[in-house]
Amino acid sequence: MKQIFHNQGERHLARRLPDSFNPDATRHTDADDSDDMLLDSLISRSVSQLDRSPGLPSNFAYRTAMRAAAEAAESRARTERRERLLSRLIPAAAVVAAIAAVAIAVPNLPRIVADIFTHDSQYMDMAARTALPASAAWLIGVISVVGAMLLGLNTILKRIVTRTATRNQSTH
Amino acid sequence: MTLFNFTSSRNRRPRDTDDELLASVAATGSVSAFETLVERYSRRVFALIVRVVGSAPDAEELTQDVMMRVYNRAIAFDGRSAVGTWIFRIAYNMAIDYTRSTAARPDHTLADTPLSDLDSRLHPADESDADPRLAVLEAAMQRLEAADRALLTLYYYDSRSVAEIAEIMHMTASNVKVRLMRLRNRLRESINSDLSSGL
Repeated sequence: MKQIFHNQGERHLARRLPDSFNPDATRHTDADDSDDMLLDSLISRSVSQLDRSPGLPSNFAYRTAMRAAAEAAESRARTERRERLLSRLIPAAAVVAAIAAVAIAVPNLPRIVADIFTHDSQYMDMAARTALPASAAWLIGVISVVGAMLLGLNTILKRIVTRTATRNQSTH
Repeated sequence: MTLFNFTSSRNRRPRDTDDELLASVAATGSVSAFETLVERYSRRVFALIVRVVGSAPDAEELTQDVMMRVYNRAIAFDGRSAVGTWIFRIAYNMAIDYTRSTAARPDHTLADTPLSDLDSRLHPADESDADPRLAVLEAAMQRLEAADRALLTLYYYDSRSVAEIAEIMHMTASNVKVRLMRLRNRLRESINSDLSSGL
């Protein structure tokens, strides 16, 4: 039985024990071991066949760059749409929150206002009785904080969007 | 439309280093810098992926996905490794994930995909005919696990150092060395046994 490689790895294994093994140092330089060199050479030739394969098309880099540009543009458009939506939703939400806060805190506000204009003390007394001093104040506080957070978030998002838009514009 | 205003030949930046190119991509999303990076790395990334997944069309698609991930995650590059190592790590991870996902498909058979496609696209007949050992070795390499094929490609084709391979493949350098040693022995035995039985 003919063997192409004679050492069957033992000699190689012994020389390449974990402490001493250094493939970088022995890659193609160990002239004493022709079997190892032959194997290295064969593996290198085998993997280097990739060089002669059709591989990637010549315009691959261009196509990939175009895809990146298209995806960046799409992402920019998506961000702008989100920004437009948020710029409408957040003020509307803030207004609704403010109305809700006032309505919860002072449920008789319309009557009080009417009372002021008509100089009728009936509703002012009622307002004094039905107002919720402690809980109302607490609720107003919470809603104000949430509103402020929403407005702050809006500001942050606007800054991010502006920065992204600047970055994308400088791309082209 | 601004999207298609850049021209690749005018905007190429062949003299920039990888770090400069990636920094430019991260800071401004520069498509021209990205294109130069793709030109530099796509062929070698493709070589790694096609060895792992076995199918050239799939490898081409995956290579583009890898480069797109490089583009989208350029800002996350922390500079702890070389740009090339980072790109190969992305490529390796995506290729291995792909092989796992295809292996999980009920209609997938490991036997047919790799060899049929690789034989036609990566295995010139004249070379194999000239040296029978090469054909035997090629067949033996196809029988290896995907990660082992990646290891051989990174070491022999891309000439990556053991330390770089360890970083790319999430292994210790010692593990890479031991695995390389075992692979060499396994390939040697395959060539010996296959050629002996054929003689």
